[in-house]
Formats: sequence, structure tokens, C-alpha cells
Amino acid sequence: MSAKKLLEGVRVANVGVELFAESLSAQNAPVVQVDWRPPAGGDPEMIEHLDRLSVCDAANDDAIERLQAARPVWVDIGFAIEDIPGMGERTLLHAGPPITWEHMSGPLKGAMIGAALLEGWANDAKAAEKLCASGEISFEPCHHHSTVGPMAGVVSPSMPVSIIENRAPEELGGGGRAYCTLNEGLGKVLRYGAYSPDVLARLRWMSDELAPALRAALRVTPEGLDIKNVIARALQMGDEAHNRNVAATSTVARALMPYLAEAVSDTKVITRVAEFLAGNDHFFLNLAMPAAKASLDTMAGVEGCSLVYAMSRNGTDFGIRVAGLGDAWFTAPAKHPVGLFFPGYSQEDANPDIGDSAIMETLGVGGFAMAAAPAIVEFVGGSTAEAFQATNEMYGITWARSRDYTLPALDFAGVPTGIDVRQVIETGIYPVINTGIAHREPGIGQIGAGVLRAPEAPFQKAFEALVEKYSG
Amino acid sequence: MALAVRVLSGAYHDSVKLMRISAATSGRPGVRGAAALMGTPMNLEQLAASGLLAEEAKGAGPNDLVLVVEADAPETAQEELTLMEAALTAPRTSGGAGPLANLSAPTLDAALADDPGINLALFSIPGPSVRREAERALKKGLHCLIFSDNVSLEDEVALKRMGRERGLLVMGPDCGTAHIGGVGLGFCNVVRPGGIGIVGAAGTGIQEAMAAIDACGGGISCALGTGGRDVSDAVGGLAMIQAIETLSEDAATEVLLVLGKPPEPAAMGKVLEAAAQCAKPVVAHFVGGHSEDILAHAGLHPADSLAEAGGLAVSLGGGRADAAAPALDSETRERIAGWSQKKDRGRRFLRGVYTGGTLCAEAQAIVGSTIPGIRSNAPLDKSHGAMADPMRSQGHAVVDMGDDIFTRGKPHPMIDPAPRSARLLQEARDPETAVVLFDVVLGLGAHEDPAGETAIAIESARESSPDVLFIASVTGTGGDPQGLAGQRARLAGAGALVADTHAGACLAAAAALEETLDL
Repeated sequence: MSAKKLLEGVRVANVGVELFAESLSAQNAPVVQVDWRPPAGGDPEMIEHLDRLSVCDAANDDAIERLQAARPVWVDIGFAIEDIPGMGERTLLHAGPPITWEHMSGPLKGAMIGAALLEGWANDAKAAEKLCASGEISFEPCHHHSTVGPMAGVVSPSMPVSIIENRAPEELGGGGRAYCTLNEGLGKVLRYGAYSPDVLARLRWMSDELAPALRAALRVTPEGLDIKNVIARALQMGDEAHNRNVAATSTVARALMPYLAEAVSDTKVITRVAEFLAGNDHFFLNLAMPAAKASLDTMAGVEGCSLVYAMSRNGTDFGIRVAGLGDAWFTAPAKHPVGLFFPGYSQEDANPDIGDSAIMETLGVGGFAMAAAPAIVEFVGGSTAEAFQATNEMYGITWARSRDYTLPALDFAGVPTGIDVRQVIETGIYPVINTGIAHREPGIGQIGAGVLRAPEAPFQKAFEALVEKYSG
Repeated sequence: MALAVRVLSGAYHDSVKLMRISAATSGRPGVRGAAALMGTPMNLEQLAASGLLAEEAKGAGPNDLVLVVEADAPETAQEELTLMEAALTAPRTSGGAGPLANLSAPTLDAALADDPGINLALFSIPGPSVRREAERALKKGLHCLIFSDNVSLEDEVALKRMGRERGLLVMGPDCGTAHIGGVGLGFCNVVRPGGIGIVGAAGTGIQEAMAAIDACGGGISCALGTGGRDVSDAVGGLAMIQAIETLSEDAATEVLLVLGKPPEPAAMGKVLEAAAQCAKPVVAHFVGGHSEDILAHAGLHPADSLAEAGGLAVSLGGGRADAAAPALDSETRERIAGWSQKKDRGRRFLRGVYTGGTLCAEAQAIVGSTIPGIRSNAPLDKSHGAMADPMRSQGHAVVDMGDDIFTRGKPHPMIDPAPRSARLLQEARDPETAVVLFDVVLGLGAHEDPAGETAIAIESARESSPDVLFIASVTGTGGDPQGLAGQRARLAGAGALVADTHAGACLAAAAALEETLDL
């Protein structure tokens, strides 16, 4: 190889003083400004660790292939107690890393109370609270049971759950399943800690009528519903697959309707199911999340891999799990999202960040795919330029660009996927997460939506663990 | 005739994008037809109707992407199919840079993912951080231009060795000027395209030669900087030799011009040997060096100044060289004579105040050949010639204001001339100052009106010290954004004697000082 080719023309990456990039632009020469900052804040010891951890590169390449190959399909609807692996009779699952009753925030406690009432373990909220505090109930993270749940993420044994199967080839981690409850809609709902009779009545209807109808419809589809395909299409239609799901929900409804009509004879049931889907823009979130989980779990346990396969919050703590570090959680106190609030509510009412839904950002959509969703740029400051910048920045901490989830506004560039702990530490850029905001008191529900950055400490702790394990 | 088919399960792509890919493939030589579409029943029917529905595609579903190519030969069909698949995820680079080019990329890797066509990384980050970043750039196959200084010798050698192994140029550290593919990088003048290829271990040296080439009507194929330390024995001219080899093979380069401060002995031998290997005419000029070394190599042409070197390169390429020959005309001589008669006797010293490091060196070389004892903060001869205090001149002194001690935490005086203006005033106020010699460097990257800023200082200085003779050179071309003629006129209007070349300015300064000695 010689330098001759260079003489034909330069395309420059300008690392440093912007003046040089401006001068190149003025000459109509192609140039990209690189927003350089001292790696790891300039800490020589950290830089040495970063360099040693280049051993992770190959494992990351392997792991990202599994993530790229994942093909999550909605195959069935079952029940938590029957289908979720390891689900116990007196178990309640919750979002985020492990937590005890005492440390639970308002909305999570509210959702636990609601679940206890739903299961008939208590007659009223007070009794339910007492039961929860008694230690008789086992509280476990959804993530420990191949499950994810938005916001409080509470799953009780009798709840119906969607089953997502990864239909990738077996050698690329295919065959795994993930589970999630059906989405209840917005406003006063269990996942935001509301447990009033109307909330419980809706959950019962979902269990008694919605789930069986959808299951019947799914079972007459030739091979289930390809959720990867729906997410990919929704990104072309203005969703970012976390805070905006209207395109995906519509796509799912459109796809399911013929099968629903075929499988269910009672037209009144069809009407109610159709109305429910039509009135719930976020129905798809509870399919996208387990699809993301089924995809990301293929990376779990890949030795040497420094990519994050789960980011999650329980309303008190924020935690991440890293592929090369097994099941361990790396946690820190959850932060408060900054957002837009429904009338009558403000930032002071907001609960700390909560929910497994950051699995969407872990996949590379949600806040990472803001460039797809101009309709909701208010969450990131109000302009499409800010939305582009959010996505642009995430390319700095991810190992790859998705092959299938693409952004039309960026000439179909793939979304930033595969958050690399090393890159986060090197750049000091932390993942941007879109989220709903719960009221900090139980029983009230959603009060707004917004955006925030993942806290720094979990990544720093995970980095230390990577150093400990792999840089020797 | 051959049909090649691939079915990608569960891949979704926008139909318009797929149509574009189909169209691009269909239009290629040897291809009879191509399709990229989702396997919906309607699409499969369409495929069947156009005879492209191969057996493998018949089972495709609406969530499967079907790629089909019909070509004259089976190999073509397979190749095109592979290209089609690659096109699904390939970023578009046809129209300028990538889609995120108007945003700063968070990392170099991200920039490369956005625009895989990037072939050069330009670094202006703190010196100690350069090696790690530049090594990464080299591993990604990028040539490097390192503007940063304070890069350790060890790092420089490591980077240049690594670059050489990979066939990649490492220009710098401390490389301020390059001109590649018609584009100026760093501080660079706007020049016509032409046949002269410059290799320089000297930023403003390259610029002064470029300006002379331009004045003679010549043009540039390319200018590659190496950084001044490249020609030390420790580095051994690694980048300079590589650059000479590159330009030797470059079809657009007819004449080579090799510039710099004098290489150390071992490096000198290697550099001149490489230059002598070149089949094209090579002009070599080392500021403050001797011509003997150069003359000793057949085919190498020495010169007496940067400007003359530029002119010589033009004439070797078949052009005229007259405009670059530095000589004092009668008008200048008369002006100097008139000045020396009127001036105060106590004013007897030269004070040079420079923004360009190589020009500062050339001033020491040219003026120093008739006026001994010139000191500098950047002395040509390090063993005796250093100023006791760079902040205060004594005797004959020329100051390089681009030196680290003046620029730490501040922009270079070519970008912000204010500190240099202050120093001009300081020198003029010294009752022992006879001549103030200075440079104005134009071009890309430089201040938008350096002559204007400097002229204000001269006007002010001449009010309090009317006896001081200001002698200036303007390094620039008619194409530079500041405008060469206007910048010269502004300085002349302020009362400075403005020479055509820097060497000419030095000769004028030497003549003026000789007049003072004669009295």
C-alpha cells in the first residue's frame, strides 16, 4: 500500500481545533469534526486499563453477531405461573435490579399492593401492604426470569404474558424466549403503581377476554408475528419504540385483525379487543421489550464481552448487566427523569427512574433512535437537531450499527447498538434513556414522560469488574 | 444466463430503498435483471411475471427479503448478489460526507462509520494524547497529519515507523502546513494546481516557497509537511523519505522541492540519498544549511533562499523564475540610504519579530551572513545564539513569536496577531532599535486581516519612534482570502518597506544595517 491514493483527494476527520474543519469546509473538502475529549478524563491509569481491555474486541464482535441475528417473534400468550421459568405461587416479579420491600419506591409498592389484591391474597390495600411487608411474598426481578416489565414491571402468577421467541439459528443464540405482560394503556394503571378498582377490573378483563382472544388470533397466524420486522418498520414511521409506539401498535393491530376475526366468533369480543388496541398507543411497548430482551440475552455470558445486555431500574436503583460479567448487577441510585408533565403535576411529584423499558435503549432504539421520531423531539429539547444529536452521540459508545433497525432521516444508517462499557468510560458519554414518569406516591400513576442519562457509577463499577476479570 | 437468489429471513427494509438497490444492480454490465423486495404474495407474483422467481424464493414470506439477480454468467450473478446484500447496510457516501457530517462525531470510530471514505486524520489535540489516537487512526488505515506539538520523540518515531509499515503518511508532529488533492490543510496558501510537489520539514517555509511559485506563475501538485524534528537523526527523516518516495511515484508531480531546516548529519544523508533516487528534478534547500551537501548528489539543485527555491522549481518545470529572484532594486537602496542619513545614531540594531518559525530562521541565515551576532529565542546555531531573555531583546535579535513560550494557552500569532503587534511596539520604543523586520503570513487558517492589525501597530510606533525602519515581507498569493496586493498596500501605506519575498526583506534589512555600520 502506498500513499499515492491519498494524493487524489482527502476526506478528513478533524480531531481537535474546529478552525481546521471550517477551513476545509470553506474549500468544499469533505470533513467530519471529531468531538475529541481526553479519554477517561485523562486518567493515565484508566487509559492503561482501557488499552488492556482491547482483548474484549473479538468477543464483542461475536456477541454483536448474535444480537444482529436475533429474530424475535411473538409466538403465543400464556400465563405467568405456567410459562415464566421459575415463577413461584407466591412470587411477584418487578422491574430493575433486586430490591427489598423496605427500599421500594411508591409506585413499585403500589403495584405490589395491586398485584396482591388482583391475586386475591388480601382484601384491601392495608392488608396487602402488611402481607408484602411480612416477608411471605418473594420479590424477584423480572430479568431473573427471562421477563421484562415496563415501569413497576410487576408480574403476578395469574397474569397473562406474551411469549417472544428468538428464531435465529441456534448457533447464534436462537431459541431463547422472553416474557412480558400485556400493556394496560396510559393513565391510572398498575405499572405506575395505581391499584384502584377500575385498574384491577381492567386487568381482570385483560386476563379473561383480551389475552384469550389475542392468543387465539396468534395461534392461527402461520408463524406468529415478527416483532423485529415491526420495530424496523415503525422506525420508518416515526416511532423510536419506547416513548412513541403508535406506528408499531397500529402495524400490529393491522396484522392481527384478520386472524382475530378468523379465530374469534363473538363479534362483541372482537370489537372490545379492537377498541382496546385502538385506544392504547403503547400496546406495542410490551411486545418490543421482550423482543429486545430475547435479542440481548443472546449476548449474556459471552466470555470477554464488554457489551451491556440489560439496563434497568426499580424506582430506587438503576442497574446494568454486562455480557462478559454473567448475571451480576452493577447498580447506583436511580436518577429523576427530566420531562414534560400532565396538567397538575410537576418535577417535584416525579418518582426516580423506573422500569425494565431501558431494555429498548440497550437494544439501540428509544433514546438512541431519537433521530427516527421527530414527533416527540419535545422530550429532548424541542428540535430535530437535538434529536439527531442524541442519536449521533450514542454512536460514540456503541459497538455497531444495527443491520435491521435503520433511521431514514440519517440515510438509513443503522441505530447505534451494543453499548460498550469501555467506550462509555473512555468518552464519558452516558446512555440517553427515554421514559415515562411515575408519581412518587403509590396509586396515582403516570404523570408525564421525559428523558435522562444513565447514572455513571454502574458503568464505572462494571468497568472495574472487566478490568479485574480480563485485563490480567 | 444465470439466476442467483438469496432470501434473508426477518430482515425489513424500506421499499423505496430496495427499489434503488434493484435499479442500481439492474443497470450494471452483464446484468439482465435484478430485484430486491419483501416476499409478499404480490411481490412474488411480480417476480414470477418477470421470470425471476427462482425455486429458492418461492417459499419466502412477507417478512423475508428476497434478492434476485439474473446475469449473463453465473459468476456475475453471484458477485452482484453479494454487492446487493452489502448495499443494504452500506452508508451512502456518493454526495459528499455522511449524513451526520454536519454534527460533530463523538469519536473517530463513529466518524469512520458515518463516512468510511475518510482517509486522513488531522490531530490538533494535546501532544501527550496524540500517540494513542494516531495509532488508532493508523490501524484504521488513515494517513495522519499531526498539528499538535509536545509529542515525545519516542512517540513520533513509533508513529512514523507504524505509518511506514502500513504505507501511511505521518505528517508531523508540529506539522502546520500541507496541500493535498487541491485542498489546503492547516496554514496553507491558495495556489494553482501544477507540477511542483513540495516536501517540507518547515511550515512557513513551505508557504514562502508556495508564494514564490505562485508569483512565478507556477502551481502545486501537492505539499506534504513532516514536522521539523523529522530530519533529526533520532527520527532519521522517516516521513520526509516516505514523502519523497510518494511524490516520486506521483504522476502529477514533475519537479520535487525539498525544504526544511538543515537535517542532522545522518538524516541528511538518508534524505538526500532518497532525493537523489528520484528520477525527477529535485530542488533542495535547507534554511541556514550549506549547498555543498546538496551539490554532492547528482540531480539535486540547491538554492539560496526559500523564494529562490520556489522559483527554481518553476523554471525546472519549464516556467519562468524571475519573480522569485531576491535582489535589491535601486528604489529600495535609495530609500534605505535616505533613511540612514536621517536616523538617530544610537539606533543600530536589528529586531526581527516573526510569526513564522522558518521565516525567523531564514532571517537569521540571510541577514546573519553579513551581520554577525544575531540572537534569537529559536537560534539557528543552538550552541551560541540564544537570547538571554526572549521577552526582552538586546543587540541584534529576531524573535519567533510562534515559539512555545509565547503560545502556551494562546492562539498562534498567525491566527491572532495581537501579541506580535505588542512586541513590534516594544521593539520600536527601544532607542537602540534601527530596523524592525517582520513577516505577514496569509492563507487559509491565518487571521483574516493580519496586515491591517499589524499596520495599526506600525502607525502607532512611527508616531513615537519615527526613525525606525520597518521592513516587511508578505507570504501569500493572489488567491488567498486576505488578498496579497491589498495586504502589501496596507503595510506600505503605514510606512513599512514591503519586499516581494522574505529573502528580499532580509537583504533590505542587511543593507540598512550595513548603512548604520558605515556611519
